[in-house]
Amino acid sequence: MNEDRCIKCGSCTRACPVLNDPLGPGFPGPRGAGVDAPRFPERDSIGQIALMCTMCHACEWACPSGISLTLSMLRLRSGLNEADRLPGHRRMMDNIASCGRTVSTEFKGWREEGNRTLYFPGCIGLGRLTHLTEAASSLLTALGVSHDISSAAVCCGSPLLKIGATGVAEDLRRRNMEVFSRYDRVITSCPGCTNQLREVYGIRAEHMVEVLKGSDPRSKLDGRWALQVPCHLKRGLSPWAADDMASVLVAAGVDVVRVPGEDCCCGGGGGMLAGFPETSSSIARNKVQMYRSTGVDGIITACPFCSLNLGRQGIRVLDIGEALAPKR
Amino acid sequence: MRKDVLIIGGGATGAGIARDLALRGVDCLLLDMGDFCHGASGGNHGLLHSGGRYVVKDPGSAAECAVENTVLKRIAPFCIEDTGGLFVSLPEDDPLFADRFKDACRSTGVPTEEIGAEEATSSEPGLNPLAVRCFRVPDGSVDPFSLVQANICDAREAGALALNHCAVTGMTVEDGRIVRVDVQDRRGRLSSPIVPEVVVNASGAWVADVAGLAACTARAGLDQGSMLVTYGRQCRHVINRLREPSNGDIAVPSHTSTVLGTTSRPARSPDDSAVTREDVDFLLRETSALLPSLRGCRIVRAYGGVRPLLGGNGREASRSFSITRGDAVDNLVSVAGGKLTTYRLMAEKVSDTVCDMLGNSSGCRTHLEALGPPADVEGGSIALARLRRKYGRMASSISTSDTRVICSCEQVLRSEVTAVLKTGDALTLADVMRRTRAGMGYCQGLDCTLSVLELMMQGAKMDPLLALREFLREREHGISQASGDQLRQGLLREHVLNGVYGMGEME
Amino acid sequence: MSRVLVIGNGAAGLFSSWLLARKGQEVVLVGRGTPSTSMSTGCIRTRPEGCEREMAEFLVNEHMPWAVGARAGLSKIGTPFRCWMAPSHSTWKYGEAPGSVTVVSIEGHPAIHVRIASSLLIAQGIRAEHLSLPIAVPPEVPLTAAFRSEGSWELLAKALRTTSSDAVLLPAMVPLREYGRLDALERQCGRKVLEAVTPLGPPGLRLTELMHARAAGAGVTIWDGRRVTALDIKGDTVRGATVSGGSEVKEVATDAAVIATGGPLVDGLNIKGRELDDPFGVFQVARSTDALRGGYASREGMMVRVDGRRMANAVAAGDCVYSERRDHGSGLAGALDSARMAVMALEGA
Ligand SMILES: Cc1cc2nc3c(=O)[nH]c(=O)nc-3n(C[C@H](O)[C@H](O)[C@H](O)COP(=O)(O)OP(=O)(O)OC[C@H]3O[C@@H](n4cnc5c(N)ncnc54)[C@H](O)[C@@H]3O)c2cc1C
Ligand SMILES: Cc1cc2nc3c(=O)[nH]c(=O)nc-3n(C[C@H](O)[C@H](O)[C@H](O)COP(=O)(O)OP(=O)(O)OC[C@H]3O[C@@H](n4cnc5c(N)ncnc54)[C@H](O)[C@@H]3O)c2cc1C
Ligand code: SF4
Ligand code: SF4
Repeated sequence: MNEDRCIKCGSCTRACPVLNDPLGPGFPGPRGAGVDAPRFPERDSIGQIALMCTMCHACEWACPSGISLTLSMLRLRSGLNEADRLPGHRRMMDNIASCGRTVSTEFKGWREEGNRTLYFPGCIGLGRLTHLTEAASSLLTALGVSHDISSAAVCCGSPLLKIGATGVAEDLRRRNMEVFSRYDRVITSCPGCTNQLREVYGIRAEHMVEVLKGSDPRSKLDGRWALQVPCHLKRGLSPWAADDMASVLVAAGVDVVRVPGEDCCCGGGGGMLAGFPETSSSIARNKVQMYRSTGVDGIITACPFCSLNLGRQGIRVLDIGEALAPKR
Repeated sequence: MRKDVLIIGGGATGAGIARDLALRGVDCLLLDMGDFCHGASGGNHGLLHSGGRYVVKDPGSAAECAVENTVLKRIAPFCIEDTGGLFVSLPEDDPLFADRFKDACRSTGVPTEEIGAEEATSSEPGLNPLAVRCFRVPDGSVDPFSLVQANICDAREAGALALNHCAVTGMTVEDGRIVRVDVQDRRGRLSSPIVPEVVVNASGAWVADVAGLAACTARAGLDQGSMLVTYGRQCRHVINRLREPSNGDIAVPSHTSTVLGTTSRPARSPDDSAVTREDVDFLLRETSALLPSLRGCRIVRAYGGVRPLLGGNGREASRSFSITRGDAVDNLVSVAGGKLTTYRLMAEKVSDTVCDMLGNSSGCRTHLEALGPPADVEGGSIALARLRRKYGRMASSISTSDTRVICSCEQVLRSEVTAVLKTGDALTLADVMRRTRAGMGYCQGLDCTLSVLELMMQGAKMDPLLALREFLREREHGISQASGDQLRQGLLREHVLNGVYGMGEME
Repeated sequence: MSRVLVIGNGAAGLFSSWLLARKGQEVVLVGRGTPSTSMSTGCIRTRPEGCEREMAEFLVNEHMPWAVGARAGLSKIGTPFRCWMAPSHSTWKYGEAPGSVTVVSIEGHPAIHVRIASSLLIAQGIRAEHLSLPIAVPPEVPLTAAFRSEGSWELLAKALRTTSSDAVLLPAMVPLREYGRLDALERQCGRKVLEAVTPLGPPGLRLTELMHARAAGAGVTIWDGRRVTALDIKGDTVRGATVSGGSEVKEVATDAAVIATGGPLVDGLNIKGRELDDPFGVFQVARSTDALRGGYASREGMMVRVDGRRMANAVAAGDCVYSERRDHGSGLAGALDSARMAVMALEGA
């Protein structure tokens, strides 16, 4: 706990995408929720405020005092009263109970061939955006990485930690570890999953960007493309991996336009997409407007949540796996 | 202006007397030269004593505290946190003292229960695991600001007039009676001198100065004590060192902090409350023997208070109180000493004396009537949950539809400040702070002061720079001995206030 | 010298890396957190002595023109503010103060304090008017957010046309890329548009963003959000550093180092008790009990090890360097000056 280092400079509040959104849910800001709220003995009554955050880590990067603001908010979330749980978050938990994933599974192309590598697409890639998973899988194959996609693997648990359901997350970890024990290598497309596997499971999972970095892929993509640098890739996993995302695409021949603010949050993380859909899409709408003003043909990202949330705003969004897949 | 009783001093004692007399139907006027709580009542440790601290050396005070502790918990629960207290001895402490303590508690009526070190550390996780003996006592944490405000509010409702920023500057004595009292009202509400039947001198550390105005003497030594405010709560209970009362013995959880104290040194004047660097280091060292987590803890502020002492020096002096009639003057009653915890008892005794003099035979009711029932404030935010605790009955005058926060350190609502300003009592930024806590948090007013001042200027003409300087300078005293992160906080203040706003330059 | 590692993403780090990159050096700049540069008013208070020309060139950009010379402006509480170089809308030429000013506010929002400001303007002999915009913005929400839409700017322009003052004082709310909005507003309302001088707000962020873009444009590799946690030092030479970011840690080799990590406010220097301390545990700190002026000691421009040895390839710049002259709220000029000196010392070495 290092919240006691706060000097009230307000840098975190100026960086926060939720606070800076005109349709904010009444969030008191990273300092309000992460530093101020925990000091009050009456904090039981704060209800849902710690949930109004996308976990983008922008505040943590901005803080000159090095305060772990998101950890502090996660701590508050884990003490949430069951009665304060948001409807969207209840739905996620119901889905977990019925299919082991936060959204119902649509994916059909399971590959259980006894390969030593497991491709772990994550809940969005198996539910809402199955084309993303198919593209990534064919890209891996083209790169010579033979892999399984296991129907036994369940949600990594990251979204559940974000909504304060710690116990459920632990249960999922146990189920996944059994699956993972059959593989030498785990590759993911979702930086949230990558982080969770590394930090909570303690296995050295690789994000797609990291796989691509060493394998010199080629792209046949036309047009000018901006980047949506995912929060959980840049500020969660590794800022170097985020730098690599751009260089891999450029080296592959994509016409990449770097725009200021490309690494700002899409609004989709931290349980916001399900919990506060209006704020979530408002953040995405403003971000897409910014991209449009630069005249690009579309956006390339490396996180299924970004693909989903920005894609709903009517702009072309490709996952890096799709952008570099052999045929689309 | 004619008044039955003039009470000089709006600390806990004076406010308590005003309430007591007003409830007995006496027409009284309460004056304070500063704000209410400007003296020791605003500069103390906030410990609602169980009496435990005094059982061995000062059994009289201990017994008084024990009784008043239960009375206050009954009549003013809103401003008291019934945290319970622990008396804890460490290996280096005199092992015999614990037994003396136990016996003395029994004979003075202070309820105690000895518990094992294991139970103690499980109910107070931060406690030094080397603790030898531990006793539970009914100590609590009291917010002196809301306690005094509630007394004043009650007194006013019962007909008393209470004015702050109104100093008594002179008295005319004729035939052994005070016939006229001159006042200087900073706000011009009182234009004529006061003609009282009885004058009560409840001016705390100033007791001799005020008695002097009527050419009377009041004997009281002056003693300064220092306290530290920590960032965040560092303990659940009031933690006392189980040894002969000495310096750095006590940690009191209060609002968002724990207050560490106290020290004791002779004071040159009632205003001589400054805290030295040695005090700060000493208090941290001593209290962290009880609560090791305090080592390296961020200290948000250091402050001091001056108490009048009766007989003896420093820790030797009794914490009881005395009531004296002026030697050469018939209608002057001076009260001095005592504790915040026993303010009501003192007020009762003084009021008995005064009523005797006035021929009023009604009895005291302050122990029977609640200091206002808690208002009904329910809501989702921390700020709303805190309203009742800070304002008691007055909470109902605060609009809760506007949930904008003005001071985030202490989660003060903008509407709290507006409501306080509406009462007309708050003249300065510090007055607003004492009532709302805006500016008491860890940034010490960096974030909220300007917004509060802006609100104040909506209703009143004032010189903003003067107001800011007065307030911020006082806050700066509190962090001038800072270390660690509070030093960084101080640096940011300097950059913003002096560097950018030029507060230092525009004298 | 082939590769220089610059540690610190404030004015000193960004300027020195720009200077080095311009001379063809390979530069990697590592920085974490918000620098004091972003917390400042974005106005350079005193005239820099040794680098005026380079600095002016460094700050050239397409979005935000600068005004140079003896300048004066108003803080967000209406106190007078003097400086040497400021964005074009922050100040006027010293001695040419407007006779009347309309202070624009949003009720209850702390971006500007209108009653305090008006009262202090009057005290300076400036006639003050007050215009409160009929929009609600919660106090913790930055105004920049509320003023992103065209609609709010139109509303503002319309409201301003009804006032009669020589100038308007606006809360600081434009980011770098929207600075042009202030010019547009000035044209629309026909009077001087002044931005209140504001610490801890958009002006400082603008300055850092601008410097960042200039350094990147000159070819500096910027490792943002990463922190140098240790230096690899052999004798009097820095040979590399440990850099951590996200959940990764990397070792980098370097031929020289510029340390521009800022003061204790931003953890450039640690505070132990009441004393300043070198977080790398290697270098001498001078006047360690003065949080404002204390900092790294230097000898003939190079840093000094705790054991007194003069480093051969490490220099320090900005707030982390001991400076007798640094004062509250000044320091940008000093940071830039010392960055230039540091670069010169490195070149000499
Ligand atoms: C360091 C310290 C720690 C303490 N800790 C505790 C504790 O933890 N628990 C506890 O129970 N007690 C504690 N006390 C004791 C307690 O604070 C005091 O007993 C109590 O506050 C005294 O209140 P009072 O009203 O008598 O005096 P004060 O609060 O000092 O009030 C006197 C008032 O008289 C006013 N006045 C003076 N002269 C004039 C004049 N000429 N005209 C008008 N007004 C005038 C002053 O402005 C002042 O407001 C502590 C005291 C100190 C000093
Ligand atoms: C509120 C405020 C207002 C001010 N107003 C003005 C003004 O109006 N005019 C003026 O001239 N000056 C002003 N100043 C002073 C001025 O901002 C500073 O003097 C100047 O910005 C210092 O620049 P710097 O580059 O030395 O340090 P900084 O800008 O503080 O940059 C240092 C950076 O290095 C980073 N860092 C530290 N350690 C490491 C590490 N190990 N690895 C990676 N990165 C690290 C820090 O996090 C920080 O981001 C103001 C300062 C403050 C606080
Ligand atoms: S993690 Fe992102 S959304 Fe959450 S408080 Fe921090 S800046 Fe705001
Ligand atoms: S950025 Fe860090 S130090 Fe500044 S207000 Fe936010 S939490 Fe506090």
